[in-house]
Amino acid sequence: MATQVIEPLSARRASRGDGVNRKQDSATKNTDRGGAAPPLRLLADVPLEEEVVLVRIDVAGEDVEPLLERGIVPGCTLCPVRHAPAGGPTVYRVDGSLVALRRETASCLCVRSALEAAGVLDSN
Amino acid sequence: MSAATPSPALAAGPVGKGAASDRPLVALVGPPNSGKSTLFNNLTGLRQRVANYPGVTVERRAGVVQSSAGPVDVVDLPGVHGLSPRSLDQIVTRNALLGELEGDRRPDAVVVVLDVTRLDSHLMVAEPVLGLGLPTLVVLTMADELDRRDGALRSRGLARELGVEVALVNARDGAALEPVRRFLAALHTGGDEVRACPIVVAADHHDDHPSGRSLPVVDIFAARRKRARALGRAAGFRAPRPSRSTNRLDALVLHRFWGPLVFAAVVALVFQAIFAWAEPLMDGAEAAIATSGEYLAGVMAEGWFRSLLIDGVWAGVGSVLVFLPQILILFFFIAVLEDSGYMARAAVIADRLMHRVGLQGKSFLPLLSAYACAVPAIMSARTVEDERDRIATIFIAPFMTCSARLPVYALLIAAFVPAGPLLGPFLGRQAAVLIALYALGLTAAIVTAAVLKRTLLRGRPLPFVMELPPYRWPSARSIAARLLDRTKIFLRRAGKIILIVTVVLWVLTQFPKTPGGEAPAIADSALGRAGQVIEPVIEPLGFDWRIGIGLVTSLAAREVIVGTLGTIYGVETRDDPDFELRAALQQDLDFGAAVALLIFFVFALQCMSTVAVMRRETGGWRWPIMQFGYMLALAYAGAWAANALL
Repeated sequence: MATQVIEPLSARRASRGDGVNRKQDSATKNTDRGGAAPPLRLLADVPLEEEVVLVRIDVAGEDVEPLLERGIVPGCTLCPVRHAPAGGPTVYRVDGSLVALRRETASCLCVRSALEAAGVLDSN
Repeated sequence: MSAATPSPALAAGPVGKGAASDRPLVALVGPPNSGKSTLFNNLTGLRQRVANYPGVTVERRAGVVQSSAGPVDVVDLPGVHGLSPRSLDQIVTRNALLGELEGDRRPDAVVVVLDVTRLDSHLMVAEPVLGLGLPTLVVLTMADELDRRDGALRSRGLARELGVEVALVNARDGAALEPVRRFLAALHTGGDEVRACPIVVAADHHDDHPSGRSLPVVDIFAARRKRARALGRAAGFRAPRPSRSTNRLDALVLHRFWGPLVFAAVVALVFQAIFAWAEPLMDGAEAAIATSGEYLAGVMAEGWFRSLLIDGVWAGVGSVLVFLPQILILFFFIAVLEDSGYMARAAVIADRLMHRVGLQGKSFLPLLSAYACAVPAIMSARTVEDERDRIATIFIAPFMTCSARLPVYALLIAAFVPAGPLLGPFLGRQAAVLIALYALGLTAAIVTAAVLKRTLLRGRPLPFVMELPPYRWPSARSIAARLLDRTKIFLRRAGKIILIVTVVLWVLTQFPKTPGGEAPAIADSALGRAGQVIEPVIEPLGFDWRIGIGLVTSLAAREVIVGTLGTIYGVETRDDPDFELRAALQQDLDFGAAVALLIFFVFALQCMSTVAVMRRETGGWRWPIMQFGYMLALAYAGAWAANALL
């Protein structure tokens, strides 16, 4: 299972900007290995059919519960399978279920590719 | 969690003794779309809505099941994803399980229904329920799907891990009931099957954390997921591969070009069906009512009772009953769309629009069912987690064209819009007008929601999560059950409200008697006079006193106006055996007034049941009063404009 970076609730709001920075890191193909965690990306930026592992949810307070209750929990595998028409929600496979998320929600989910996550496990 | 050691101390003996009822009470719990309602239906034989998208089972449904050892009370709790007191659904389920629901005792045992193809996430839902320490049976449904999609599970292994009975079944299969029946019987006999889960789940909810400090909710769920996966692994769970048929259908239904087209085609098909295809059935029903009325009139002696029965009840109730086929066709389509899984996709397609209006995607589901009836729609809005979104959804739900408006629309369209093709064989002119009326209501809803969300109900939106259940063949049995249910409700309404209104109206048409002891001409009757009092108010809309009476009586329920007009014209033309409401209306209303009446019905909140359920769901009179006044003002203004312009 992937290493979980879980922050206390109070820190979560503040970490929004952090997620954006990391996204830029991933854009520059930062392949930093050797114990350090691979770069995080936003779920909204993951192309179709790429499997990723959820690392962190940047949603404030209780608002996170609807996601958690449907299995969108740090450590779960997510795979975008289909975009709804006209910029609508994207359908993700979440541990065997299909769940649709809007882009703005998917932008609050920090993920890393499943392969990288597996690599982290190996290196541990 | 895998450290499950059977604990005899927790094993329960016979339960239910000393409770308010002698019968043990068993609660059915599980996430939405787990097959819980299907199982409940098959168990109790009770009618209940079974659907394939989240948020349908909102109300508590109960029934008595005869087990081999005696009767057991079974209650079907709302489908939930968890027990945290966040949405009303979850509050109801949680309180029911804790015995804190008003007028309800604590269940003696629970049957946890989970979809085995989604075992990991569903075990997460089950964990807090198992942690309650009640005797539990875990029913894993969709065994056939697990098989077909190359998944695997040793249910015995899971039973060993959990320390409770586990049954792997197909919910639709009659054989699925056997393990449940055995469990229910064991509640009487104190059999071996009745065991509570010996796992003491860490008091992990943030409210109950022993340290008194809140544990981050994400941590709770992450830990729960780990335990659920460990359990699955220990029981040899192999997750099924993604469903190929669902994937293929989604490729079409959510396609960027075909998706919206399929959506539009489905909507057009439904409307075409309730208008064009229902016609022969409605003609048949009409003929049956007319023939039976004539027959009764023939065998009964002349007198006031015959007049009451034929001119009052038969004409009034009969003219509403005619619409039963149409309403059933609408409900048939809604049932098929829900049970097949398409409804959730439709919600995804429509989400762009909902988002622009400022509503949550989940509001789409209640709003969609408001096309059938606003009352269950308002209740199912409980699944909308965000309180502001829930109120907004409730507020605009009555703008959706409910089935009670159909009789009114159908009557007026048939009377004032000539039949004929508009788009070749695909769309008739009358169906097009019907669609326009639906669109008008929808537009009003959208505008209202947008305004509300920017003023009274402004706030930060919750994340949007919509579960898409796998496509499944709707079961004929479940659809038949729902249609039967609808018929009963409709008939009860026709039989109760409409019958009472028709009888009262008939009485009011009979007095004051003429000097010769005859019933008065309708314009001179008490009813006619009352109508003439209202007339000045509705005259600017192009309505006369007859319509006015109809508008007043339809405050009880919209379709009552049809019955009322049936009674009024029925009494008025009692000597004419070929009386037809349609023709009478054509004489009485001009085109502008007919359109005005249609528009009035699009907007006005003429439904006491809706107002009552609004009050209950919003906890006060503020919202229902606002809603009623707003909709009435809109209706009056719209009707006035239509009458003035046309």
